[in-house]
Amino acid sequence: MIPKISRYAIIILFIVALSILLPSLYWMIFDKPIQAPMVFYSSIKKGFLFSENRTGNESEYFDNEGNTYDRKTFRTLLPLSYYSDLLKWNILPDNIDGIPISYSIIRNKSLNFSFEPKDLNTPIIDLYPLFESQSDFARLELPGELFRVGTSLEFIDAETNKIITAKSQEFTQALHDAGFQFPAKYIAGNPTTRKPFDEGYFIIDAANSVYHLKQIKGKPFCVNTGISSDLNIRFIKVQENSMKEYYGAIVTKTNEIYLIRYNNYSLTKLPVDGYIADEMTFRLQCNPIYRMVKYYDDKGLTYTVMDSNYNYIDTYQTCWTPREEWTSSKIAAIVFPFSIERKSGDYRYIKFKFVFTGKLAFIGILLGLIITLFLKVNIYHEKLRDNWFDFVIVLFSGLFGTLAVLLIRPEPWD
Amino acid sequence: MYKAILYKEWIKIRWWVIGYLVVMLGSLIYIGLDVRQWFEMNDAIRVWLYVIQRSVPFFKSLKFIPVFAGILLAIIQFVPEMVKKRYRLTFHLPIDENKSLLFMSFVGLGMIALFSLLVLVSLAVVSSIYFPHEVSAISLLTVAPWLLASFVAYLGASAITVDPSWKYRVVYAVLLYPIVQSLFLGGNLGLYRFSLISYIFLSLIFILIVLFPGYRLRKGSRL
Amino acid sequence: MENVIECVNLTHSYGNKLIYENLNFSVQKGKIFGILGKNGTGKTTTINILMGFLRPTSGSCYVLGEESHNLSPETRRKIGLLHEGHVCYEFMTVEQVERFYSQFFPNWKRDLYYGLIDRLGVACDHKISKMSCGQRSQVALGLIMAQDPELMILDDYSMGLDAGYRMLFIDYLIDYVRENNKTVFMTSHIIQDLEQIIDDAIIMGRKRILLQMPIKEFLNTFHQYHFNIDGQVPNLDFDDVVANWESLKNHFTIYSFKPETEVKKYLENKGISFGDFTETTMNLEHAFIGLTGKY
Repeated sequence: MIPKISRYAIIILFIVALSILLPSLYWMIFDKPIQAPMVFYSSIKKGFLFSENRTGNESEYFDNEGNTYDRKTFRTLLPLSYYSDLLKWNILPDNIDGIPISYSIIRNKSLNFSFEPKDLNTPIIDLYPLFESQSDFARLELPGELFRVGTSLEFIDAETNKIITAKSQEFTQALHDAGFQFPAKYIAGNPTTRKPFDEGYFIIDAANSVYHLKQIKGKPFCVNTGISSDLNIRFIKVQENSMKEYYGAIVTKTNEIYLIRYNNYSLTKLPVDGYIADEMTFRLQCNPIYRMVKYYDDKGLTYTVMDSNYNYIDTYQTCWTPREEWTSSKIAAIVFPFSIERKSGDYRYIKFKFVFTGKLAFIGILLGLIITLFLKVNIYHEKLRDNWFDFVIVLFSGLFGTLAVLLIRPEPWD
Repeated sequence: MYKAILYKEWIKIRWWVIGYLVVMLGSLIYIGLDVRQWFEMNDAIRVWLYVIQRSVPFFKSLKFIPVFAGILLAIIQFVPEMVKKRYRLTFHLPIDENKSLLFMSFVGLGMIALFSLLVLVSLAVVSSIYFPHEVSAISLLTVAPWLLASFVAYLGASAITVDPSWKYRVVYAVLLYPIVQSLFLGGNLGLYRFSLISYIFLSLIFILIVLFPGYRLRKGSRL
Repeated sequence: MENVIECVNLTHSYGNKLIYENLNFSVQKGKIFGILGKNGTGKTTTINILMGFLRPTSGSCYVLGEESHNLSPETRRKIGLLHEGHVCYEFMTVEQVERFYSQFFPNWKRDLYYGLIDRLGVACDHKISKMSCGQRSQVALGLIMAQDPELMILDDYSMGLDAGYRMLFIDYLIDYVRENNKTVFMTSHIIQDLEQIIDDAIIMGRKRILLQMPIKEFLNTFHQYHFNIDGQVPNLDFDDVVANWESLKNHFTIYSFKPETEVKKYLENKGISFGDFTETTMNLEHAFIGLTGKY
């Protein structure tokens, strides 16, 4: 009976709407910020130091041996981070463990490199500018065309929106000559002029080999990097830096991270146990003495310190009460058997994802069935057999369904 | 007999069709001129990188026009049927009531589909003149949820107009708002690449929703 | 003869307000049946129930053999319905509305429609919304006549019509019924027209049916008696003798289904002395008012 089906269509849509609306209103009221400490490694103490905003007003400074510090002492123990303050206070040392340091040395040898799950899950239009790598001029200039690489490499002129055949053929040939097997599977580079110089692009071919492509004096430069094709690469981030510490980093599908070094594209594997690319933010920090790798999500963080040759020194790990354990989450899990996730911080695309809230949902479903039964029999005096499917709906949607089937009442059907 | 209903619907909606055509063509021409001006005033490569790296649609002015047109169409089609209890005329006609109501909806949906096609084709044409095909493809993907919203809003507004009770009108409005809003999350290009198909399936469910209020209306339901 | 309409134990309330209960009637093919009554007594309610636009609180109705709340499209094709308020598609013109309806009815009588419409003197492309109430009614009636249905249901056909058009329509109606053995079910509160056409009637009062019989029988058995009273004006109850009464100073009027002798005996038994006892013949309108009261 078609109007009956129409009623269920309305009920289903109403439940979808509620599962979008109600959890978001709920969390608008009950959400709290995550309290995570900031972690540092002291080159003086040779140990970890922390700062955390526990009380809500002021930060506290402490280490993991129970000591607390005032702000000035804390910063004194971290010359590589707070060198500006120490310089102002005239207490910046001129060396640490024999390694000379000064304001300018620290500045020139400090580097930050990070990416987050959003970067791996962002809509991309695969059109890139190929800069001139060895220009006669100081600043990088925008070319007049962009290129794409698929079954061949094509340059498209921006003014005319047409393919530049000669240049395209030249570069495609160069890739061929270097051993590249089309079609290309993945490409990564740093397509901005705001960098000290240009190292072009890393392109993965059909055989999973990684090639390095640049434009030198207008001519193509292309080599096979020799990076293992078994690596199962998911993501490459290129970031040119004047320290020439690395070209960039590789993230594999098995959540490993490698730095691509300058000596023949050798790989340095970073110690990132427990790193999950789709959930965690990754950050690499370099200073004159140490290399620090930090990765974290809303449940915990890991902070690993290495020396300037990436030899392991120490690790700090901590976790905090995950959101799922909060009382408000538990109540939500009972009342909302599922929610529909459309946006999340980790993923730039819009989703339509049913997130089932776990075992506690069954309590809510039971509650929903009882309430539905009670109201239908005692208040609305309905004949249950006529619209038994209402209970199936409540079985799958808990209190959302209860609200829906009681608001959108069954009619006396013909 | 369906031809007669089409005839009746056309009499009601022809001014909407003309008005929407004027507004839509005006917007598309504006967009075309606006894009042209971008290229006149800036280096082409900068415009391309702006669109590609900042992920900015060049047709933002279109964003809400389809959804409001859909709501307006529902009002124009169904209010004249409800005023002075005229729905009794429609439901007394010697044609299955569900089929006739559904057919009326299909007339509206058909119109919205034609306009959606117009938008898609026009944007594809403008884009392919100025931009590489990757930009054209992602542009169509970006405008698609806005067009989908006009189908959904039309069907939701039809249900709201047809139902005789204020309580249900509120229910349908509560139902409609989050779902329509879901189609406008984020202004950048290509955000719906993986979820558009899910939203399309959800939208298909909307086709049926006008029949329950129609049933309640013609049975004189007081629930 | 088959029953075109049949209602059994029909009861309806709007919330707590009872309209009527246990209404039983049937309309035979070829008859013109009228429901008369003051405003708010349930005439339009009955039509809405018959056409399936309302679910009765209890009881059932059958139209052309089908249950009224679930009439099939085929059956509806045979029923011409004039809705309360003479509703029509006002956004259409005179021409458009005819073109629209004609596609639903294979026996559509276009000439009949234009025969009635041309008398309005309006152009074909005149929008119905721009017409006066009476003109709109004429369009609605024209559409029903052109449909040539088996059963015509007219809710207050006379609304907005001038005297001339009312007469014209009644002529068409009588012709329609007698020529082809069609059936009409109508409500009205312009009683004088109905006298010539209605065969059977129900007169509704507040919360109950006052009368259910053929019109001829009603006019033959319902009497209006006048007399003068000496002394105090009595306060008579309504019973099987006294259907209704009025008084003005010492002039008394009784409405009754009983013959003169019985009424006189009744008054004597009540100890009422009267003089100048006369009977006045009534037309349908007077009889109706006599039965239902002036207020």
